Amino acid sequence: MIYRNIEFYNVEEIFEKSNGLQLSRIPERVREKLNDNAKTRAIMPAGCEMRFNLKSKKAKIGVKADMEVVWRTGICEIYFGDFFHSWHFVNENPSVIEIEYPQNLEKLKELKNKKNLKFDPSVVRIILPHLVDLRIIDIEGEFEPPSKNQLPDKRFLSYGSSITHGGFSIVPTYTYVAKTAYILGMDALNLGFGGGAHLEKEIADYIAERDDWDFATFELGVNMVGGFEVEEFEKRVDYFIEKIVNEKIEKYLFFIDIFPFYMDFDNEEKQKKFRNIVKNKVKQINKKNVIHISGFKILKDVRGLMTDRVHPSSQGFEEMGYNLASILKKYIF
Amino acid sequence: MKYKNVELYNVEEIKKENDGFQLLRIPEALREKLNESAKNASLYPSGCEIRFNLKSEKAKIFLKGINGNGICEVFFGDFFESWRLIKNEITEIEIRYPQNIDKLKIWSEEKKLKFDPELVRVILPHLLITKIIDIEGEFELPERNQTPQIKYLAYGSSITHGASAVRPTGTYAFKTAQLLNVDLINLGFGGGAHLEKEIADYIAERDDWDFATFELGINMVGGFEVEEFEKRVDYFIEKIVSKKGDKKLFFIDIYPFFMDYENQEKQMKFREIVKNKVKEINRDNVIHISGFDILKSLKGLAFDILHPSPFGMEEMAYNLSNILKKYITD
Repeated sequence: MIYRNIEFYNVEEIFEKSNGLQLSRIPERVREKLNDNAKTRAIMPAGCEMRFNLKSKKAKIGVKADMEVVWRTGICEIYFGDFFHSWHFVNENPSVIEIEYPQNLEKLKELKNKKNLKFDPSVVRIILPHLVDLRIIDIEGEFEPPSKNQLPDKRFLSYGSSITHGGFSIVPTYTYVAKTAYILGMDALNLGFGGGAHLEKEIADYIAERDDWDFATFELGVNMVGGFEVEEFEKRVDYFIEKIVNEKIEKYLFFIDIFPFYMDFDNEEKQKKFRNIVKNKVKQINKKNVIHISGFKILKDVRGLMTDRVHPSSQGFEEMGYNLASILKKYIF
Repeated sequence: MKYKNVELYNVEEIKKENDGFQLLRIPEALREKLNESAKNASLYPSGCEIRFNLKSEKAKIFLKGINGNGICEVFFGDFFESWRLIKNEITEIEIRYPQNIDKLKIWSEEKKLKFDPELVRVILPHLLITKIIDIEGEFELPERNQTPQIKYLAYGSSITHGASAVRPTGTYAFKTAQLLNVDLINLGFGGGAHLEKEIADYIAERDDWDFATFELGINMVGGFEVEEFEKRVDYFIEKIVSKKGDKKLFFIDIYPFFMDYENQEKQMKFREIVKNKVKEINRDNVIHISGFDILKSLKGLAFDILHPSPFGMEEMAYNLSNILKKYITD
């Protein structure tokens, strides 16, 4: 959405709070109907960016982490189009990100055209910390929102758990979704909600009605395998997949089952049933553009998991990005 | 080196100060003979880790940055646990074994991982001069079988050192080691890979590495003539090859950067020098690698068109490890 001539990418709602702007990745009417985990995670700006053309010499963006609900610090990354510039630490103390175009901007633009990159280097991208309850406390500068031809022409949506959200990677672009987008040269809409991918009817309806994505990945299961019975998961998968397929019949839809995690290594059974439900539902749909992906094909090296044996480490996210992008490439180009 | 009962990995000497100590990746006697950039860069603990087996309930590590901000990562063996920002004030890092350490150990044995999860690894910021203020707790030194047996030494510029990776495990050298399941000795010196006789002699004398990559050229293409570079390359490569004739030695020429996009010529001559020298040596274990085969994408470079971006570092590690794999057997 556009706010003060800045595009807040992957942001659907902005709350003007007493201590700054808070961003939400889904409209409030949807958020309020979801489970508590999804409610809290929706306001963490995973995959969210402030994008603008800078019209004044400098921009200053004041930021801080609100620690009342989410006690976590994080990192912003600054890019000029596809080109990494720097990073900025965000904690409970207000700090200012200062932006100026680099001296070699013209050179970067020339190279972008020569090599056919997707992002115009004139587009400043402040990639926001993905696990923080962020507040934007000040915006100084003159801006123009990016135009369509300054951005990738394709966009995919990724729904899922904390793993899709990016927990607990250090930096916001070190998530498998951001990496996949980078490798494919596309934009991603991150709708990963740590602990909150409960496949409610409301989120299925919402994703199905959005008309701003070209294909989508759905990571289903890990957030329900602990607290839900197999039958309830099956019921929700039925509705979720049918709804999305019915509304987006012309698009590529990739349904990923549970990525490997501790239950697999502790010889448990329930997670296998969850995987089968996703796999069988896709099989039953029986359409060429509706594809099942096994979680085991995405994360293969156990060192890619962190000590909790659920969440990928940075190394794991790298592997996942490469593997997922390789699979998607076969279909979408 | 050992310090009390912890290992300061990839650290050769410490420099004591009033409130703690700094870490040197090369001995002081060598450091003072190198160029100013290498002198400075060797104080940055790139690839340096505090390693130990924790014998008390918890450990406390107190760190302080001297010149900016950086990220410190805590691993248990191969497994990432957490990260902390290190800045210009004392930061305390408390460490306890995770509750599931036994599971991690079983897993590690089953999968034949190279790092023992009981080995605590505090991976220090690579682009921040970091002082260790204090280390509290009871420790035992790592045993030989708790880390990979194969050690990989990487010499080079700021790119090998790790700019512009955000996290210390995000450098191409670290990632390459990770992908190959080996242990890294990082001797990348931002701006300082001038191939002096002294650094060549030093690397050639060290007996703690099994194979090495040498990234040659970028730090000399600006300030040195072609002839001087050639002279230094001659000595550098000959020295290393003559002392380490039994090891796999990989000489990488300049990674793509802005001069390549401006149709300049000098950097091409530098690349030829490295390539031709390796050809002249004519041995199976002495291998030339083109920088263009490692970093292929333009957007893998940061805005300065010189240092790889975090994504570029990944691409480099994938490409480099795929090449090295052909030669290095576990």
